[in-house]
Amino acid sequence: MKSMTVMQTALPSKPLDVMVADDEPSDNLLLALAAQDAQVEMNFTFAEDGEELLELLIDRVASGNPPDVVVLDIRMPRCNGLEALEAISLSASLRQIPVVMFTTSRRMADMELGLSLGATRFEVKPSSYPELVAFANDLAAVAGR
Amino acid sequence: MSSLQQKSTAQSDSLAHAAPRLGVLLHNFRAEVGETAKTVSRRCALGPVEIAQLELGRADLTADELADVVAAYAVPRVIFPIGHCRIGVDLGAGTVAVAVTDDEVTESTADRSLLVYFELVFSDSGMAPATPMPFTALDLDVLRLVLSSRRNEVNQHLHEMVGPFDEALDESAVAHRHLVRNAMLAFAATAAAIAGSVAVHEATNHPAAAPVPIETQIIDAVFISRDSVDGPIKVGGGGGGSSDTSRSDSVGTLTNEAKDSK
Repeated sequence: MKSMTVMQTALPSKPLDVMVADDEPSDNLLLALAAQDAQVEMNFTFAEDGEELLELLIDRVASGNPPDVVVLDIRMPRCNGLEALEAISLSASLRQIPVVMFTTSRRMADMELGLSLGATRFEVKPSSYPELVAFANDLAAVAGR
Repeated sequence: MSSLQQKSTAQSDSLAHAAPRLGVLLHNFRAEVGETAKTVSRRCALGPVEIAQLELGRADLTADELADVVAAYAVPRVIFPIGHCRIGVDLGAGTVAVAVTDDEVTESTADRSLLVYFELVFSDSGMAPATPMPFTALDLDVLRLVLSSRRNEVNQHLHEMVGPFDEALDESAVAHRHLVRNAMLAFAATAAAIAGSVAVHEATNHPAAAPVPIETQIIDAVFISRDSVDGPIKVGGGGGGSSDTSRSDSVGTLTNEAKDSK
C-alpha cells in the first residue's frame, strides 16, 4: 500500500494535516475511523514505513506544505519509527514538525529514545475506541491548535 | 460523519459498556475458576508477570504471544463451540459477527482469540450469539488481531474509503532510491576503511611522530538527493557526503541542514 489521503466532510476551519507512518493497515483504518468521531476535521496521509514517510515529508516540506503533525509507529520494515525520527531530528526544517510516537511498544528504552530524539509525545496504542478518539483529538493540541 | 460511523456509533451506544477489555475479562474468569497467574503461565510461554500485565492492559505482546496466552486461560467455548463458528467481519458496517454452524470450520489463531473474547463477552451480556458487535465496542487489541489476519480486505476497504492511492512512489522509484542509498552506504564504508588504513600506515611509517588518533566521524547522517530538478527525492541514512548538484534549492537547504546538524 502506498500513501493515501482521508478527507472528512469539509468544515469552515482548515483541516488538521496529519501524516502517519504505520505498516499495519488495520491501525490506519481504526485511526481514520476514530478521526471521523473526533472534534477536529483531519486529513491523513499514510506511509507504510519510515522511509516512505521521510520521502513524503521531504517532498511536502520542500513544496512549502508541511503536515501539522506526524504520527510514527516504531516497529516497521525498512526504516523503523525511531530511525525515521532520528532523521527528522537531524533537519532543522523537519524537526519543527511535531512528532507523536504511536506504538504498541511499552519499552522504557523506546520511550526514552523517542523523547530524546525530539518526539513531542509518546503514546501507546489504546485498547478501546473512546481512547483512540481521544488520541485523535489530542493531535490538534500537539499541533498547537 | 460517515454512514459507517453513524451505524457504529448507534450500536456502540448500547454496547460500549458491554464489551470490557480482554485483560479484565480474563482476570475475572481466572478469579472465578480460582486459578493464579502462575497456574496460567505454566500453560503458555509467558511468565506470571506478563500474565498480570496482560490483565492490567499493559502487555506488549505479539499476535502469536497474545493468542498463546489467551488459549492458556482454557476458557470453555460453550456459546461459540470450537470448530463451528464462522466469523464475519463487515468492514463497511464496521462490525464483527459470529455465526454458529454445524459445519466444521477451521479457526485461525486470531479467530480463536476473538472467539474466546466473544465467549467471555456474550456469557455476561445475554446477547444472542449472532449479534453483530461494532468495532467501536470491541477491545482494539483483539480487533487488531482479527483485522490483521484479513490484511488484503482491510487494505481494499481503506482504499475504497479514502480514494485512489498516491502513485507518486511507484516500485521502480523506491527500488532506485534503495540502490542510491546502498551505493552511498557502500561509499561511506569504503571511505572509512581507507581513512583507517591511511592512519595506520602513517602511524607505522612514522613511529616517532605523535600518535595519530583514529576517529570515526559521521559526515552526513541523512542523505537527501534528487536525480533531477523534477525527479523524486532520495532519502537514506549513513555516512559519506553527497555530490548531487542537480537538486532544487529547497532540497539543498534540507541537505545542508542535515550536514550542519551532525
